[in-house]
Formats: sequence, C-alpha cells, structure tokens
Amino acid sequence: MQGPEEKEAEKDGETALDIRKRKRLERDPLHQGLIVQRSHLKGREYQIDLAARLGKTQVVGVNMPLNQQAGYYCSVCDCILRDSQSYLDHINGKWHNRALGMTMRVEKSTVDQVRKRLEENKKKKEEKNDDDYLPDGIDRRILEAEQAEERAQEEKRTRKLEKKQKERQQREEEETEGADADMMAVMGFGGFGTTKK
Amino acid sequence: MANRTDKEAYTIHGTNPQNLVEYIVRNKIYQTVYWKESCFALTAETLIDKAVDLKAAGGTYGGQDKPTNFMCLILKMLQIQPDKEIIIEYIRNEDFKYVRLLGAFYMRLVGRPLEVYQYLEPLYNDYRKIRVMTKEGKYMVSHVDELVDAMLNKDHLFDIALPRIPTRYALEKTGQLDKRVSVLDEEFDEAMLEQETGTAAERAAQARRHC
Repeated sequence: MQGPEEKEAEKDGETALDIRKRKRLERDPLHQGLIVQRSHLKGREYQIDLAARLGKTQVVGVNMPLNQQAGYYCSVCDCILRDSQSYLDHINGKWHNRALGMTMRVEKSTVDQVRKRLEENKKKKEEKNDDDYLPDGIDRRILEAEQAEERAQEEKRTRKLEKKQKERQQREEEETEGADADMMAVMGFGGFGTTKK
Repeated sequence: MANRTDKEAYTIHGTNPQNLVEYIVRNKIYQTVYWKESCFALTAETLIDKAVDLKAAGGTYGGQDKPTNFMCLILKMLQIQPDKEIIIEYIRNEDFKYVRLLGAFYMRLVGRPLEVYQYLEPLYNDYRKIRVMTKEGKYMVSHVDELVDAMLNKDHLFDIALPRIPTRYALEKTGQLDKRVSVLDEEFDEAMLEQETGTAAERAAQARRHC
C-alpha cells in the first residue's frame, strides 16, 4: 500500500498523508454533496465470513490489484487489511462508515420499540415447536442430518447394485455378440453349455 | 470510534459511564470478536436480540480472563446509555431471564440507591435458574434472586466494582424506604398460626386429662 502512494507523492509534491486525506474526502458522500446529512449508524445485515479464503492457494504479487493481494480487501475504501482483527477494526471504524454515509452514533430507540421487540422475541420463542427439541437435548437438525446420511448411503448402495447389474448385462451381450451364431452352428457348437446328455 | 460513549450520555458517578467497567476488562472486551462482530452498532432495541441468545451470565473467565458475552452487552449498554424506562422494561419482562439480569445489573451500576432497591427487590421473587460462568471457565447454577441478592449486598460482582449504595437498614432508618415485605412472610405467619393453634389444642387436651 505504501509503495504506489509514495510514488504518487513524488510526482505531485504531496505527502502520503495528504493523499490519504484527499482519497477519504473523495469517498465521503457528504463531502461530495451526494447526501445532505449523514445517517445514524446501522449494523451490518450480513454475517462476516472471516474464514472465507481459508485453505485456498493463491498467487500473490506486489504489483497485482489490491483485491487480489493477500489479506482482507475492503471494496468501499479500496484498501487491504492483513489480518482479521484489523479488518474488523477497519469496518467498524470512522472512515469506513463515513464512506458509507453514516456517523458513528446509533439511533436512540424508544420504549415502544423495545416493548415491541420483546413481544416479537416472545412470539418467536413460542413458535419454536417442541419437535425442534428432543427431550435429551438433541437438536432436530442432528436427527435430520443422520437421516440424510442414511438416505445417501441407501442411494449409493442402489447405484452400486444397478451398476453391477448393467455390467453383467453388458458382459452377457458381449459374449453373445462376440461369436456369430451361424458360424458357431457351422463349427458344430451352439454355445458353451455341455454337450453331454 | 466504535468504542466511544454516546455524545449525549450523562456522566455516571462523575465519570464516563464506560469507566464503571475497569480499564483492563474494558480493553479486553474491545478486543473480543463478539464485541467487534456482534455488538457493533447495537441500539437498545437490537440489543434485545443478542441478549435473548445469551447462555450465561458472568464476568471474565479462563486463563486469559476472557470477558463473557454478558459483560460485552453490559459495556454496550453503558456505551449507548438507554433511557431509564427502557431499562425498567428490560427488568419487567418475564420471558427472558438474561435480559432481566442485564437490566438489573445495569440498574445497579447506574441507578440511584432508592431506584436500585425499588426495582431490584421485586426480583427476589424470581427463582429461575441461571447459568453463571465462573472464573475457572466452568458453569455454575445460580438463580435470579441469588444474583440480585449479590448485586444488592456485595462489593464486587462479575469483575466489576459495584458503586457503593447505603444499606437497606440505613435507608429504612431515615424513612426513605419502607420495610421490605417478603412474599414468604404470609406463609410463615400461617405456619406460625397453625403451630400456635396446635400447641393450644394440645395444652387444652392435657388440661382435660388432668381434670
């Protein structure tokens, strides 16, 4: 990250810090006049998957675009973070959220909202039927997973059987095809059965 | 920053409310993934969703003194400073015991002594079981009333030095608080009455035998 910025700095007589400040302002929708006022801070609606690129092999070069380099790439701020902690710090940070048009303050919720939310949660809790929870504490999902596994095994078995049957059929066909029936009759044998009677 | 106290928050006990959680614990909370991932941008409303999913109360645990999720949410509440009515709503709800505990603990940290007694003492009638994460990283069974009692009488709870409040006795002396009426009193009185009538009948029977 430092490399290209320093090069730019040499060109324009700007320091790296100046460049960073300028880019921040360029990303800020309030400063660009796209919004009149920054909105309240809102939580993320998606789950962050920090382990998305775990165990993957990737070629990394210095001159590659930032989003192909090693680490976590933030598409909003066009920067790369080297570890998960600093990535989380970044997406929770002031500059990132300014670029998204938000201040760092959350909305003050009212009593009614809180009451409603508690009601909703109560309903959700009641809706959870007893089938979800077996008495010995095993989640229904575990049971379902087991059933699915059994089903998969059953399918595998039937597929194997079918394959075997097909092979046997093919072999028989080949045997009958391989020798011409007329020729065999001429040569004096009709098949591989015994001639003894 | 994401860890800064709300600008319009009142000072509590003369300082920033987040200072109620000690510096070391506070910084450990700021570093946890739960704080960064799940506690980001929570409001008093969305905090309920997280509090409903709580599995245990507790302070810090394990060799590294890892803060529990309960502690993270307490710090979040100190940060956003919900209105008093909201806290009362938390305490008043009966469906989620950990939401109730969060509210009660927050009230204990922030409230005035009279309010603390007023809102926490009714919870003495809540006998539900609570899981508490101990310092060693093991779970311990406790109860809501047990924890409320600890909040009212102890100096330290969940790795937080509780603000000092006058004892109930002192407040009763100055006439600010009425005597606490326990729901068990009635039962106790009845039992006493029964015993008394029993002994009276026995005595009468003895007297009759003597005659």
